[in-house]
Amino acid sequence: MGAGGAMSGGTFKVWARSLKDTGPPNSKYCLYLPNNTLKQIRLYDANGYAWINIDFTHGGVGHTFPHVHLWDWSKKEIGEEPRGDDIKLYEMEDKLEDWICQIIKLNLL
Amino acid sequence: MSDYKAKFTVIPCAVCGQLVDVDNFGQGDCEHCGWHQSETCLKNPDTVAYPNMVSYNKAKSLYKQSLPLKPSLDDFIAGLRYYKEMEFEYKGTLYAVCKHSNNICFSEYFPSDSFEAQVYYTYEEFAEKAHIGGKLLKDIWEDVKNADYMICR
Repeated sequence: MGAGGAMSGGTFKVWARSLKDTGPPNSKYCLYLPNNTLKQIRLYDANGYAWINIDFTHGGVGHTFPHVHLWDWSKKEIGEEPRGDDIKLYEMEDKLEDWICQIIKLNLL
Repeated sequence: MSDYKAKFTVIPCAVCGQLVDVDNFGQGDCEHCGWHQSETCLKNPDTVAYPNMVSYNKAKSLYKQSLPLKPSLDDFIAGLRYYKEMEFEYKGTLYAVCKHSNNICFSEYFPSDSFEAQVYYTYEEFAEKAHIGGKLLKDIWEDVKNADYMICR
């Protein structure tokens, strides 16, 4: 999911309430607070589905920022939810290398 | 930089039938009934799925009864299962419910000394035991407002 080809969907800066779960394939949306603080980045995969969230700030307790949520839409087909738990960046050892490679390949960051 | 707000077409809202602007991914918010047009929600009509807080079929039913598309506590928990980070308002205070890898944390959105964060280990335990000021959340849910997926403030 998300791999292959150059970025074609573009980069978007938005000052909205939230981001959608689908968007331009291979694109990056950056969501800002009214004071221009970056609050969330959402990357969309080659099919336009949400792929990776990076949360920089939000409410509640128990979080480390920034943290990541990975979306796995194949889970939807087996009745599970696609958006994963928050993952601290330092807990992503097993995924980080592949993740960074895909991001570099897509030129998303 | 592309224009995120560009609208490409107008379609009838899937719930109320009023015209709504949607982008080229079919996404748009109905100003009449509040339904967010979403392919994901239409494909799973009995499931609560982001960005809506009630299922498509429930939304249609509520609309037919002239009721707002307000989620029940079960809908809210379904949203929590989906998105992992939720919020709601009760008596003017904003609360956060976050599903972490090993627990569910219920706190004020902006933590203060006036509310001690609660930790639960299953969705069922949260539904049964979460409380505010000695009142069970399930008993005061009718007074909860703006239950939704968490946004950043």
